Amino acid sequence: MTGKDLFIALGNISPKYYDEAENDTIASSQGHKSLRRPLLIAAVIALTLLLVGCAVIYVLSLERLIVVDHTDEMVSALENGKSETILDESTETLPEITPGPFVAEKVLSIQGYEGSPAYNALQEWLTYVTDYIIRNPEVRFSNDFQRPEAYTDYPCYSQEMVDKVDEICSKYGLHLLGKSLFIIDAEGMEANGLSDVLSEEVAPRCFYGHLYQDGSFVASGELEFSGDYEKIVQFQMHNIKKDAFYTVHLGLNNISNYVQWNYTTQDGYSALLALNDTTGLIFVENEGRFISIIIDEVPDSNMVFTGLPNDKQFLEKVCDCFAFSDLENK
Amino acid sequence: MEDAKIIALFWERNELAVKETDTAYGGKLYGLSNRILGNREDAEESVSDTYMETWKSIPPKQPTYFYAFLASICRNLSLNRLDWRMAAKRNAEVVALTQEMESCIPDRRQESEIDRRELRRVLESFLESLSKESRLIFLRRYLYVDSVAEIAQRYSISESKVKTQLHRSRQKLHTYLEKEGIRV
Repeated sequence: MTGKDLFIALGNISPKYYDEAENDTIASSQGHKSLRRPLLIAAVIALTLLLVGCAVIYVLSLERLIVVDHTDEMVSALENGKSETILDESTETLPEITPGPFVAEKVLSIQGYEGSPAYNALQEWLTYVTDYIIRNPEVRFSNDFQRPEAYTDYPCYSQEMVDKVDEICSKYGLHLLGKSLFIIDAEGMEANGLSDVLSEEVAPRCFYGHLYQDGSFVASGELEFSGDYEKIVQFQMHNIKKDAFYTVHLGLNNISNYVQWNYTTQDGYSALLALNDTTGLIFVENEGRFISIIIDEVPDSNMVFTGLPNDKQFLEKVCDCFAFSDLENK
Repeated sequence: MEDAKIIALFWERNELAVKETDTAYGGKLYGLSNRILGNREDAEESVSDTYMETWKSIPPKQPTYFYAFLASICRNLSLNRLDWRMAAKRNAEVVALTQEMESCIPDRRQESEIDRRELRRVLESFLESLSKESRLIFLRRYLYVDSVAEIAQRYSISESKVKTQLHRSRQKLHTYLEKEGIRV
């Protein structure tokens, strides 16, 4: 079977799909809120974290997470006029994030704080990729290079880039993620031991993800809240081993729009929470992993976004839906 | 004229049925065919052939979704008419779509023959697994051959969101097809 065969075969599906695609719509925004998905997510404002019973004052600041800062010079996108495309794609969890010049003001690590091997590795990788794409602008659009299987989820368009991945891993003592397994539903997530990231009483509306061979994973899904907060949110958890080389990152603009605070999770971990009217962020570091969770709103049945509740307790309630113990310690 | 009345004209073998169909849906069918064929004359002929096939099909058929019935015929006829080599030469959109679909095909070492009905079942199961938004975007792209820009405009969303949704859906379809290949 070829792509052409599949494309032709699609025409034989039930007429109800033709009808749905012809007649159903995704409505635009309502009222004073415009329909928008934040092109960039994340915010880290200077934060002071006090560890109970410990004399160490642990300071988390914007600089501790930022790997690249373009505030002073907004580097233009390689594809003229498509900076929005690169911005949006760079906020997704797909490993194949478009490399190259970024137009986000700040690019954040979700691998760990400044000074950690994974943070340093990401910083070096992004600097390298930016330069490489400038030197080889057409390489992303070429199908000539077949990535070796172990590098499938790294945005490598040539052997040189594959070699750079190896060099970085060796330099910082990191390992490759390995090939990813895409898990399409909750049943699959449970079969692969990933349902433990959700608290026992939580039943997601949908639940799927990617599991890497090294045990790192991305888990996504939707949670429905009722009572005080009638809201459906989608979550994306990056649960990455600290000694894995992971190239996914967050783009950041307007961090001053976020409210940030510290919260102790139900299983006793210190979490950094950040919230604005469209996005919530949760960061937790456990024994072996760095965990980032991005919370976005799911629009209503008319495809209208009404915003996240402007209430710290809401994000804390969301945070309580997750368990943060290292899965290998279970 | 309402679909039910048009279908009734077909059943009565009243030639007004074709005229009314053209009035109601001719523009949309032409647009679909033209996006596939990229040629005005060929698209017009495909639409005419669509009416002919519909005339031959109704009766005995009594489609519930009349436009869907027409579009399905029109799409298939247009694809049959398409000169794929010429399409590839002029870098036609439809060729790009088949290349996008290529990424959904599992590893050929695991590929097994899958019959048409089973493939339809798999594809429909896959479509049901998508959120409505993802499904609409996927169908507009690969069923109706809309461009990314057209989809973005239709649903008032960004082109980058369309591309991301399509990428995710293709990945998911890849997994569906891979599962079927392994099981069979």
